[in-house]
Amino acid sequence: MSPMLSGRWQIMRILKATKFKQCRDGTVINEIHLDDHVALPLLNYLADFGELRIFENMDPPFYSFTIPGCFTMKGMVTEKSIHVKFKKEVMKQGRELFQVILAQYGEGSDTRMIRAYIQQIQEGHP
Amino acid sequence: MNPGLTYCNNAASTWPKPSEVLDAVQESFQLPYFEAGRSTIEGLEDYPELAREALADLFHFDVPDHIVFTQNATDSLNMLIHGFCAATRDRFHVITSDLEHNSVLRPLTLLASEGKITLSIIHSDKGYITVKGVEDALVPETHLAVLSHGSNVLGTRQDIGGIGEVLYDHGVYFIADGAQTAGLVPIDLNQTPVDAFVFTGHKYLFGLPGIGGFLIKDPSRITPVRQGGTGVDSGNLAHPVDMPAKFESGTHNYPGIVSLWAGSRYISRQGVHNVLQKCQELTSLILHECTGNDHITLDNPEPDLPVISLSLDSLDCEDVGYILLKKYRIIVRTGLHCAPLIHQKMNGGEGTVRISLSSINTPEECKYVSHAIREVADHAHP
Repeated sequence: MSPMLSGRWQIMRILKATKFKQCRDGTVINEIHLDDHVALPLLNYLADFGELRIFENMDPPFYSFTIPGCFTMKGMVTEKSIHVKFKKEVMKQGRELFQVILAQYGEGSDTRMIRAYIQQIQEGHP
Repeated sequence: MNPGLTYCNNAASTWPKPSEVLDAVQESFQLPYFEAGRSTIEGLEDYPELAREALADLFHFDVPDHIVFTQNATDSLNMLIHGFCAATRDRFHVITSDLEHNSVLRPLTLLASEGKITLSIIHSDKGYITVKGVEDALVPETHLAVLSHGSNVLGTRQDIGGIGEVLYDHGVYFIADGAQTAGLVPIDLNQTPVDAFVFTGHKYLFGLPGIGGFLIKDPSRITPVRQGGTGVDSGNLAHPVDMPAKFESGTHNYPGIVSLWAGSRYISRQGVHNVLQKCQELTSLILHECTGNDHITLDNPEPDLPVISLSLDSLDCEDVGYILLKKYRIIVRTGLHCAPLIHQKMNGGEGTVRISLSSINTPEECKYVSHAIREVADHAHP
């Protein structure tokens, strides 16, 4: 595995978030700048909570991660900036979930709490 | 300017603009604008008049005063559609097509929902509507047809001459939406039976965003939906009926008009035929390179206009757009391109990746774009 893919285990912080695009259905895509590039350990951590696709044949690899009903994030493994698409109906909860997931990374994450929160959002009872 | 950028979103807005357009706009700021009927000093250019003459020359239109400036094609279409409806007392029937942009579909849908019109949407076949399709949609109550000249999704060009003849024979008012063709395709309005032809400045006329307009043969069929100051007949509380003041109230977008004037002259000097030919050659380069790749689906392998819609079999269009931007610094458009009905028909509303070129793109850029798309398509597979 390339050093780029191996990454390292550390807390991810959001440095800046800007609106990149607003879709026809009200969905908002945010461009989010993180304090480090997204590497495999983070993606493997995320995979516990949703659907992860990594296109490792690409250089750099492209990934897309979706928690159905909450948000989709995508980016290139070498990039610190990512695009996160939040559904209009659960914008506030989706953003909160995204922040919680990142904040829990590397802190001995409470996956049970995160999964319960995801379920609440998906069931419409956040 | 970012030298590392390859811009392929010209069907939305052309970029970069020719230097003479930018120079003309900058030059125009050196003195106050000549505002007809308002304030002036000696020696100023009357840019609206110059632009009307340049556009009349480009579109082979004999009546420059019947060229109206608006904000863009959407603004023009709203003025014409709602203005036609306001001038027509009884409920009537309108024809449009599934190729249209929301700037046509939304005003018509609103009028239909208010019970002011009934609406028939002609179904295109491979991106084309036929004269027969239009003829079949006609009913005795049909008074208006609003149809695009060029598709912003499939790059097809409609036979507005043939369609216009049928509509003319039936006394149907014909608004042609030339947002995708003005400045790109030779248009002779003296020979083409359309009643109003809509254009925008920021696409293939190489103007700034925020300027557009329409050319209208018989303005008496349209009621102006805006009234206000015109600089003429100010003592009269009724809005003027003379052209172009009938449809132009308030202060003009002078920098936009200057850009339109300069852009029109730029196109005329190049020759519209040459512009189209160059664009078609550039488009062919990309089509040739992408044809035969099993992972790339071209929605129209033979477009008339420099618009290529495609999809990759393992990535959604938003992802492709993201990768092209982030890895290759290529700007394309992804999604529905504000034309939802044709997307519904093509792929259930999934959207496409759209590459749209202008005559300012280069063969080298097209080769780079082809290489990038092929690489993304091939590498997206395990």
